[in-house]
Amino acid sequence: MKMAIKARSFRDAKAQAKSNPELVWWVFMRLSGTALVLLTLFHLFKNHIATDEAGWDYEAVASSYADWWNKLYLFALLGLGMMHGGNGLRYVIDDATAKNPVARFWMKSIAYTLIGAALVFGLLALIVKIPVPGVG
Amino acid sequence: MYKGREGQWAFFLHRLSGVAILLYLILHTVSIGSTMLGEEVYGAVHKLYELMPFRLGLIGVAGAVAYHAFNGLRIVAMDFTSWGVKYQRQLWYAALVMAALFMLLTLYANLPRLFPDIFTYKTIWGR
Repeated sequence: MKMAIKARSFRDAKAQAKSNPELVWWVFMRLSGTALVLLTLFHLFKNHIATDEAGWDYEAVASSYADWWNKLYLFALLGLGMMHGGNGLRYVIDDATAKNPVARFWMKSIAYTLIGAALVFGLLALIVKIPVPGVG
Repeated sequence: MYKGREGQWAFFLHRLSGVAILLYLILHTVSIGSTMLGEEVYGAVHKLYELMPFRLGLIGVAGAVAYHAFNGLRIVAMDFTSWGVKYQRQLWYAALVMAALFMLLTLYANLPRLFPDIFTYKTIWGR
């Protein structure tokens, strides 16, 4: 049965992993998680503590999108966040539906569709050129 | 494996905050990404964000993110260091304190913006 690894060390995780991808995900969660701690907390500090969240009107967001370093930062946040969150939700669904394969199938179908759609939408927003008012 | 009250709570709260953050990440991606649909669409979506329950909820989201982040570092310490499992209980309390401090910082920064008539102080960075 597919189950999340519940090891407390890399050696145990390797022994418990039912498949190679499962071990890769185990390592990915720790690596992406560590990166996301820094990326997310700084993102929150910059946009929700040091500046007023209500000040983020269309013009402010469009202007911030014009900065390619900011775009790269958001790209990392979006990609790592969606993958980390998506895999985390997979662990939660696997545990919650251990005895109910039908519920597991539907919950995963809905979850992956929502996450995939939001990810594509977010990526498009980073790729498409968004006009800044007054700049053109 | 570790057993006991703190470990169970740490695990439960990690999953709860994780699911909540993912849900918010999806909403946030759609709302901010809606800039590509033009100023009117963005404005309509952003109106929701200006509602008081939503703005108060954002402070809760900040707290959930901070808890998930610091408890995540505790998990990494347990998995990759020789001392992590031994001190997992102390590390959990440290994660709780750090998360509370981050949430208090968010609250301190946002109270004058949310309730300008009640909280008239200027934050140390003046905004």
